[in-house]
Amino acid sequence: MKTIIKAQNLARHFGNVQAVKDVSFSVPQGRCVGLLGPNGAGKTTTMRMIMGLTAPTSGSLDVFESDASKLNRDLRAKVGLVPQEDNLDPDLSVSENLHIYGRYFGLSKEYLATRVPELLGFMRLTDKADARVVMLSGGMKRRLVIARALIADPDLVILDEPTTGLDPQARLLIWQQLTALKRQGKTLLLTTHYMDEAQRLCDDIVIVDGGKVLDEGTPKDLIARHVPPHVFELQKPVDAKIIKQNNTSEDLGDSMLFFTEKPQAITKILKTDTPYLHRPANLEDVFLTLTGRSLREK
Amino acid sequence: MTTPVSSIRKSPSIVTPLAQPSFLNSVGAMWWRNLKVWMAHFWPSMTGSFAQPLLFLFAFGFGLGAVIDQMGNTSYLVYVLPGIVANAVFFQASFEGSISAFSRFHLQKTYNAILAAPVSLFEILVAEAVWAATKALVSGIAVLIVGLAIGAIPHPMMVIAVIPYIFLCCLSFATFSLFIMAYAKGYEFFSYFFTFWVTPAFLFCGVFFEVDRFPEWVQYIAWSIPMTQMIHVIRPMLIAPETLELSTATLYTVYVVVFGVVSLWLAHRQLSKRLFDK
Repeated sequence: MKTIIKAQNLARHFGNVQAVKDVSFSVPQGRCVGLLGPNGAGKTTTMRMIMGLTAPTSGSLDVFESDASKLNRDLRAKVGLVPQEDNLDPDLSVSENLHIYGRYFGLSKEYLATRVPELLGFMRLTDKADARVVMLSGGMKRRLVIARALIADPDLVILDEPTTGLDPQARLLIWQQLTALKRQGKTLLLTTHYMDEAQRLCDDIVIVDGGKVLDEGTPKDLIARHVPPHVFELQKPVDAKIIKQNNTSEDLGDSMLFFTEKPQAITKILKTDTPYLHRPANLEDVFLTLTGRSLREK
Repeated sequence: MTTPVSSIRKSPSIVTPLAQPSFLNSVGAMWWRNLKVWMAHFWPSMTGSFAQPLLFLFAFGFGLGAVIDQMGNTSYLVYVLPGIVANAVFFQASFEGSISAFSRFHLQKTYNAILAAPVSLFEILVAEAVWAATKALVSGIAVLIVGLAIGAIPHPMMVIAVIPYIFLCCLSFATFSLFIMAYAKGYEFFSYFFTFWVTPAFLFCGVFFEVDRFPEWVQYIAWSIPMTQMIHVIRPMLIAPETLELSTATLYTVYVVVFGVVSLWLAHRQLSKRLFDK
């Protein structure tokens, strides 16, 4: 299998700030890789380096087996970017946005005449084809940004927080269509703050914090490696026996989390009327275990 | 509910989607984008491009022309018309290259959007300059048409030669405003540009009377602004082409071109720093 992105010991500093210290990972063809990390972890800088918008201070970064900062025009045309910010043309209509963007890729009018309606259908924007972008909801704008990134039928699609701020329906549609892209064999690299999204879409996860890779693997492997499979959330006060027999627990303030291999050990101690939540461990548990629970504010 | 995968790839018959991405294609694509946005605001655009320069022409041509009859051997209206043309294009190119370009760069993040496509920053800046020059030229042509209609251009055929010359000058004015724009952090910054560049050009570059009426130090300032060179080429072209010396015209043109090229280089250097974290 070909490697689409290969980052080795990537580092980038801005003055004294080490935004990325040592990041290595690779994205094989046809996989969806999620780059997860708290704010300030170095995700955006890494994405910008992949797009060739920021040069690494040291380390190497290859995209399509070429140096990312020196991609030629043909290779750049094979990358579609869904940026975090909505940088659509607000004064133009939905379909004009796509037509004009297609021109930057040198796409012919004939190709765009079929490609644009196709993409509008794919992103459920056909009814809005003639609406001006300023009239669109946040979810529609995101869908249009995704459609725009797909205009030249890219092999690699990079998505920077594709569903941030969207309602559940809009997220669901975007997930479905990203899954469809995966089935077509596209390679996807995405960042997100939503662990359910990452767990659902990504084949591989790379968790970064403080400019370094903390761990990587499939969502399943990461969960198996870092947290016991069962999670109980119990309201305080918690029975002392439970605290004693479980060494992996976390205090959330007015409740406690317990991670365990043996759920029965906890359920048999609990009184029948105690409200509790029992769920399987998920990627969020892994993420919080690895990166901590304290707020990241810069 | 999900669109079947095939629906996005249903047209395998579409051959060679990529025409030939090239420098000209990239510049043309962004120029086209700016044109589309301009057309989307048709009436305000038309007002800015046509009504404003014509107001200047009427106010100064007829207003001031009523007080001053003759300027050398020509009527004041004939004398001032090339100046009004220059001022109109200078203002348009400067405005488009500064405030409008800054809106695209800073507010709408259009440059970021385009840089994600296979387009370079250099191509974006060339497109911006060509676009600003195009828009400016429209205003210039509007004044020239009125000038022809009222018989204020003694050598009407020279208009054909003047138009490409105006376009060249506009490219230079536009790249200089892009260079200033590259340093802007907010819109307030442009008050320096308009106070110390656009307004002095209007007042001192020879729109209304000869530059040599000013004290010497003001003349130095005037000749540093390439609009002065432009006026000193297009005014004789339209009024008395035989008085324009080739050597003088060449010298002025070289200044305009060098000024524009250096500005473009500086604009590119500064925007590279801002966009690519250099």
